Amino acid sequence: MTHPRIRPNNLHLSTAKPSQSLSNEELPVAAQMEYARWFRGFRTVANKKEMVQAIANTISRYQLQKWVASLRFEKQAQGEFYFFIGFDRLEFGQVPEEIEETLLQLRYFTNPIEDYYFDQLQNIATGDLEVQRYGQRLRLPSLRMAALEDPFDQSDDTQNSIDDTHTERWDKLMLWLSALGKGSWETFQRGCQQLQIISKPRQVLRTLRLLGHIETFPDGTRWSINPITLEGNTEKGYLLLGRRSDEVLNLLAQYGEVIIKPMEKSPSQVHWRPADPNSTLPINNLVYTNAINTWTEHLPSIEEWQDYLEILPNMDLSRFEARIYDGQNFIPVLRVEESGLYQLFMLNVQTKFPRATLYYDQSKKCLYRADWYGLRFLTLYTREVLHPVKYDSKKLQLAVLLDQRFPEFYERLLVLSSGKLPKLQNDWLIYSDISPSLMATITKKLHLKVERKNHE
Amino acid sequence: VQLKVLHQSDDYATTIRYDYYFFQGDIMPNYQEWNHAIATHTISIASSGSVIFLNINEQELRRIGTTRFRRHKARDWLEDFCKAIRQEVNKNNFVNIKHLYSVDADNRVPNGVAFLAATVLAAYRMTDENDESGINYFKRLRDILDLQSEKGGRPLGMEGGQEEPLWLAWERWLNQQNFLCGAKRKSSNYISYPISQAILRRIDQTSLYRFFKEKNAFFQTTLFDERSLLSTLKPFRDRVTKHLSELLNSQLTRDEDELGSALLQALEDWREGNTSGDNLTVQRLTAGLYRTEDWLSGEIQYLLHPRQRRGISLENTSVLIDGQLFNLTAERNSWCYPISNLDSSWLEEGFSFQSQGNQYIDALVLPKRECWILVRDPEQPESPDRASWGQPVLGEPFILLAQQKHLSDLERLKIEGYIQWQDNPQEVLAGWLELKNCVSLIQDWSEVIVNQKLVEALKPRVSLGLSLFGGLQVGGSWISEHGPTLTVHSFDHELELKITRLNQEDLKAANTINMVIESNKELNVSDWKEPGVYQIRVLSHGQSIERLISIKAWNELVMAEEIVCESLQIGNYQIQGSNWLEVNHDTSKNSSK
Repeated sequence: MTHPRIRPNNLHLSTAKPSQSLSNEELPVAAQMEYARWFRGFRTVANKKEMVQAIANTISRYQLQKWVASLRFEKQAQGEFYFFIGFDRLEFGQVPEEIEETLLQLRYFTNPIEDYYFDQLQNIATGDLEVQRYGQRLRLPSLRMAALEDPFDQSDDTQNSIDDTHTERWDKLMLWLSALGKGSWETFQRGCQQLQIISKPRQVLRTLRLLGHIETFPDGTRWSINPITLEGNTEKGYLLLGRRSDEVLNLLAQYGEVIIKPMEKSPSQVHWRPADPNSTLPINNLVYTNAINTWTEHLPSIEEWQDYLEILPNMDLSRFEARIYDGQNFIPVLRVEESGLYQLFMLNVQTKFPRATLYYDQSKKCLYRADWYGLRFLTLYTREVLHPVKYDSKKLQLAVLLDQRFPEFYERLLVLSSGKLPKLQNDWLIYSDISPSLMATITKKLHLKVERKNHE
Repeated sequence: VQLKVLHQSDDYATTIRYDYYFFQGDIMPNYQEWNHAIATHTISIASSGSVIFLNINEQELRRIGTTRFRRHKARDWLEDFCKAIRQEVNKNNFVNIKHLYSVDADNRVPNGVAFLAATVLAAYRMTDENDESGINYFKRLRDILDLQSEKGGRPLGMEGGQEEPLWLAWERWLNQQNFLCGAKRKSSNYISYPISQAILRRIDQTSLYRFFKEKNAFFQTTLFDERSLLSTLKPFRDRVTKHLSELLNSQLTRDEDELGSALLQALEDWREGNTSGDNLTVQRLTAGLYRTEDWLSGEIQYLLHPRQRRGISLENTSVLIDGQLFNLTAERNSWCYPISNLDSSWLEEGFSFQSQGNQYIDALVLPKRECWILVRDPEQPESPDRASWGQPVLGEPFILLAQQKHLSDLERLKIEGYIQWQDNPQEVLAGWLELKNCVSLIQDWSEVIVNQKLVEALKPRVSLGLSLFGGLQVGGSWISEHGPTLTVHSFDHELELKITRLNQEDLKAANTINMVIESNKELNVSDWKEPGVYQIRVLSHGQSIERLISIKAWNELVMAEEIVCESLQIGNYQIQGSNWLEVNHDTSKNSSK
């Protein structure tokens, strides 16, 4: 049998593996016994009670008891966790087809970690390992917590290395989009390809939405550039959002100070400070906004946000092959029934790309469509595996784990606060210019705990 | 006292503005104002790359006067126009036009357009079908210019075709706006210019009215659009004037839009009893079909796709469909945003929807058709949406929406190799089948014995087709260094291709590339580096096809005008960028795209 040896860096299991090159003396004691019990580790996100039930049912249904002897969990397993299935009377690492094609087809077994001898697990587990008891937990570090490093450490900050040529391409893209006004997703893709923008068009589109330049139809098939918008206030100055042209920039320059900052992987930031706060710009349909004030006043909670999402009624799911998100990967399932994030692949269409990624809410029996990160966040939220965000009140920086990125709607507010995309640092997204009140509002609405940076 | 008010800017050029002129008292528009109004009216809803006709007649002048000049007192616009022309060019019975060879310094419109319009008006009024010598034509022109001379023929000042530079200036100006000019001279006969522009002359209209009257019930009740009326009249070309008969028999697809539009106008005038053209006929807008497909569910949706009409502003215009009002909003030249889901029952006999809020329009008409051809968006060819934008380019696949009863005919055409399509026909609307990726394969359909309306719709009208794809397109232009690739579809294997870059100022050839190319193959023929207008001409066995490509520099890009913007809906609010808007439920249900 072959399977991917996915192994997180922070998982402190013994790396010793059985190998044909090892002499018999070098093998762990248990391995020297003929067909001693051994374990295969897996990583998953699941409801443990449901999982145990499903595994037990499968073992019983296919009469696998003669081989499958034990099931163990990571200690304090919650949300995403490791578990180990123990086999008797089988050669180390060799699983018969009867198990491969039945038990290991369950979604929980999609991410194998490693095969272990009994001795190896015993060494890892503190305290006694009662082999005969189902559900014994292993003491393993939490998958998530070991990844935590100081998100505010700027020693590895490469943000200042701006690729000017690249910025110019983004600026050209903005000019072209402003001239077009609106278009299809395919047109947008063509523009990105023509201008040789390295990021994927989907990422480009998302970036432009986050920065307030563009909006898309909910299914993403059409886009339109936003009206010329000045976001901010007279005190701090304004950011130019939405459509732009040389003519608009010249006009702004006539009525105040324009600072154009090249940005990485996004269009140049245009900052404008009026010479006279009372002057009226001669630009038709100009929109002034102050998002931080307006948005925080109306900001919905995560539950309200879910209620506002587009529901796809009458989806014929029989046309698709479904895969559910287990916290790390998408694994095949027979049908969409458990709440969670699903990838849907068209049946009989050979592609590695899903047709859609949707969220299914079992209690409401509804399929939701929204931005990918938003639906993933919703999944993690409902499974209660979200980790606290970090806030540095001195630097006004908010750090969010990369793999629990906020729904785009909330993230846009964070981005608009500075007009800049977040910096990526050690698996954390760092948002700048986040006031304590904005941080408090947004974390409250998303029910997130906050860890504050201690400066003393 | 007059006041020129900037109303809106048009897409076609940064320097040309669509103005309304407000007049008080009895002051009439002068020559320059007519000149500008006629030029901008003529191209007002034309699609980029299309052929423009200076198709001026009495009703058209009244329409321009009414819609472009606002005044307190009702005027006889036709009389005003003639007076303005006379004041400008009639110098003691001598036609002084040399000063009109120039271009208006303010708006860069050639100064001769209004005079040329007067010559087309003369052609419109001709009563003699065979006026080789031009006596009949010049008599009408003399009347318009009020030339007091007993001598016939060419007036003084117009000897030897002195009006030709005006036509050439008009063509140059149209080319600069990325349009082709419909005015062409036949041999050395200069009066062929205006005659070629008067698509339907008064005598042609009269013969049409007579024919409509003969088939009174049919023409009173059938719902037509430009194309369906054209194909209905084609078999009856022996019942109308020789000129109109030739037009109906013409293989030149470039004339068909203008002809269809003129025929429809004639039908509406006849229905309204306005055959003298003394009044402005209240018009009907026509609708095509717009098709979208949900990429996730695969659900196919058909929408009504209203078409604009020249000289009619859509301000405050709405259409009542199934008790719901839909605002009409211009989406681009020629077309509005699609509205309202299509009900298949409307397709069978066509349907007329009452319009509101616009005194010049009384209905939106979905015509009766045997089948609909849906092609890709000419301005955004990558878009998966399809619509009845126009005739398919030879060799480019289209979607055919046909009544189920035609399936056996279509299958026969497929078996005999006239057309092909992919997948099984799918019933997408009750009684209507959709055939995807349809292509017409054979040029000569004369042997085909199936429903003639199907044949008329499906047979290739031309033997050459030119597809432009890729690059960065804005409106009908491309951006420097991001021009399109070319594919020439032809029944021949090898073709001659000639690409000429025209000087921006005088549109004279700056450089030319000649090459022999292979048909039906995508080609990168130029780097499109230099901004300007490129003339592409493909020749094959005496047939030719021409297209202008406009290449713009980055600094020539102009922001799109107001559009219907997408938004993110959060409860009762819509988010556009950083803007948080409260939803107005009265308007949100209007335009569906």
